[in-house]
Amino acid sequence: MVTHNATKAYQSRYKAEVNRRRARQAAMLAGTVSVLAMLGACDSPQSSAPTPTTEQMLVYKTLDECKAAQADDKLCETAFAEAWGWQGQQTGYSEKGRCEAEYGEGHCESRATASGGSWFVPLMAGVMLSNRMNNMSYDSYRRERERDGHSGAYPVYVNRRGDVSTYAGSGMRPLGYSLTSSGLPSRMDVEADPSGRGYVAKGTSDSRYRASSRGGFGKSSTMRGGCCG
Amino acid sequence: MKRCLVPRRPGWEARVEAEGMLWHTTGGVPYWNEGVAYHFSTEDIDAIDEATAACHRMALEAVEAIITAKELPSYGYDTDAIRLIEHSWQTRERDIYGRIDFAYDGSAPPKMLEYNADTPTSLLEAAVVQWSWLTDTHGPDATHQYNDLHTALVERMRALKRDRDDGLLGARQRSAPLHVSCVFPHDEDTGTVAYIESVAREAGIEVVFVPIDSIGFSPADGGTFVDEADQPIRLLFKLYPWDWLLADDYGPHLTDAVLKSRIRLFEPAWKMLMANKLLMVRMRKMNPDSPYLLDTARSDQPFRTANRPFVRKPTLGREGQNVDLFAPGAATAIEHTDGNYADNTFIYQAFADLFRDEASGTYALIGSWVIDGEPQGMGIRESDRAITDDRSRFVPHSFDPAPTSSSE
Repeated sequence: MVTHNATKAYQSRYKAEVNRRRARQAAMLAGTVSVLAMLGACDSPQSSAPTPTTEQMLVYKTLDECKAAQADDKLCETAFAEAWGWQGQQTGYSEKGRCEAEYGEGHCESRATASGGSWFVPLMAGVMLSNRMNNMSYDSYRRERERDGHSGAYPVYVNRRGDVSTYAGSGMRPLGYSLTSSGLPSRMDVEADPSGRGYVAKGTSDSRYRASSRGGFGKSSTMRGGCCG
Repeated sequence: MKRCLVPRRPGWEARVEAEGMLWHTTGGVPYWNEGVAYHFSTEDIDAIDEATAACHRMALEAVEAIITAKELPSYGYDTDAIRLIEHSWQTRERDIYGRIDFAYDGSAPPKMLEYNADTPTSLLEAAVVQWSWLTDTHGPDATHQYNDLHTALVERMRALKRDRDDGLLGARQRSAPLHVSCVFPHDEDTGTVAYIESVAREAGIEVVFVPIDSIGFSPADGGTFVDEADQPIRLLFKLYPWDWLLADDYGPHLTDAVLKSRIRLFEPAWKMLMANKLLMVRMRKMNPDSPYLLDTARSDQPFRTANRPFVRKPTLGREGQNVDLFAPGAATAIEHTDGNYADNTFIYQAFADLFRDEASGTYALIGSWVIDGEPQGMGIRESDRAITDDRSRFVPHSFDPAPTSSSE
């Protein structure tokens, strides 16, 4: 048990933390919060799951390959940066060995955490970009990204067995494609992840855990009124 | 400890709304009342901090004693609840937060009134809204408020993320997002959950909101709870009491899923015992000399025999409902609140005076927060009556140096 006393200790601790805290609170307020978005939208939450639609993705192994295929180099640079940034937000592996067991020796790299630790993610085998964005100018690409969070570019990975996968909002998910003799498939049909971020294999976004019932919680609150305090 | 009248910030409504506090006014009466601020000495703050640490420790010891002695049935739990409490305690499931309410008048040691260990609210008010009030009114460098709640919560969520990523929360939980849930629509609960969401995001955790009555159940994988998009819920922060979850139709499914690690809930199941007011009977029995505990019993007899004033509270009551105050020798209550907990068993507790401001006749209650097992700050709620209920008002506080304001 840590002993707490001395208000002086609080005061000095607060002073040391105050700048960090101010920055954090600013970040907090700026951040998008799904709960409040729901409150702001209307009183009735969305009641049914969206029907998954198939989307075609273009796959590029390298930035040069993307630039050669696309009209606007800047689109490719942004897409690769986005995929890289998205990878940086993932949980990854806390041990290199566990990552390599899945992706093969030498196929994982470390990322540093802010606190000085490190974690591991597989090496990006390429980047996939929605075909809807094909040959867009950089400006329209940006507009499309802002209009629809689903679009944009995501990283793709290949594991030891040659299966192609990506990070979706729900974690590392297979895309239903495998490495061919000529390497990564150049196009893949996938589905948007229901989390709103990234993509998953066709037919897998909602089939595994389809609810057989809903509404089994909540009865007590109608009996007891407000619950928490 | 004193109550001060202070000017409200111009445009305070917009300011607190921007911070996510949409329930600042109910029925034309401000719930967030920054026209009043409480001022404390450093000794007051130390006393509250020490009382909080001591009461949390005594509560943990009482939980341990009850579980070890296999006494859970006498606390009103059925087989499922007992298995859940024991499982969560024996596997040392780590909790997130709780709030201990104290009667404190600025001189006698703080007296514990209850532990909101399972579903505490007023968190956003305490962690964020009163902090910005302090820095808005006393300058950006002001730190004289007993409030390290936000930092502590983010740290706790970082630890939760590490545990999750290391597989300590379960194999299925390893890359799962955190689902957050409460009754919806409900401004206050939703606002509290939104704050938890923002804290989790700040700690790098993906968060998905699902209204409590929209949670679904899929038979897949032996029985899996799902969100509105049919995605499995592996980690759930629920601002909804454990005893309600178990009483609801999905209760048996939940027991099974929790015990088989298909879902992990925060707060853990042992927190429902900590929130049970019967625990205070056990705490007092184990610590008869603690200056922070009130005499608490399962019967009114000891108080009637000794001709002492006492309070009767439902063991699982909330928001000050169904609370009765009895004067010495009085057969009927001198003060009473209605509510939805008349069917509960009751505890009887020695009466403790709340802080009372003579000029305004207002009472004040201390809500002292425990985050990850440590005292981290407090919030004050004011009431016109000795029983603090959901009509109470949240008011900001500071400690030395004194605010430049007129004391009432």
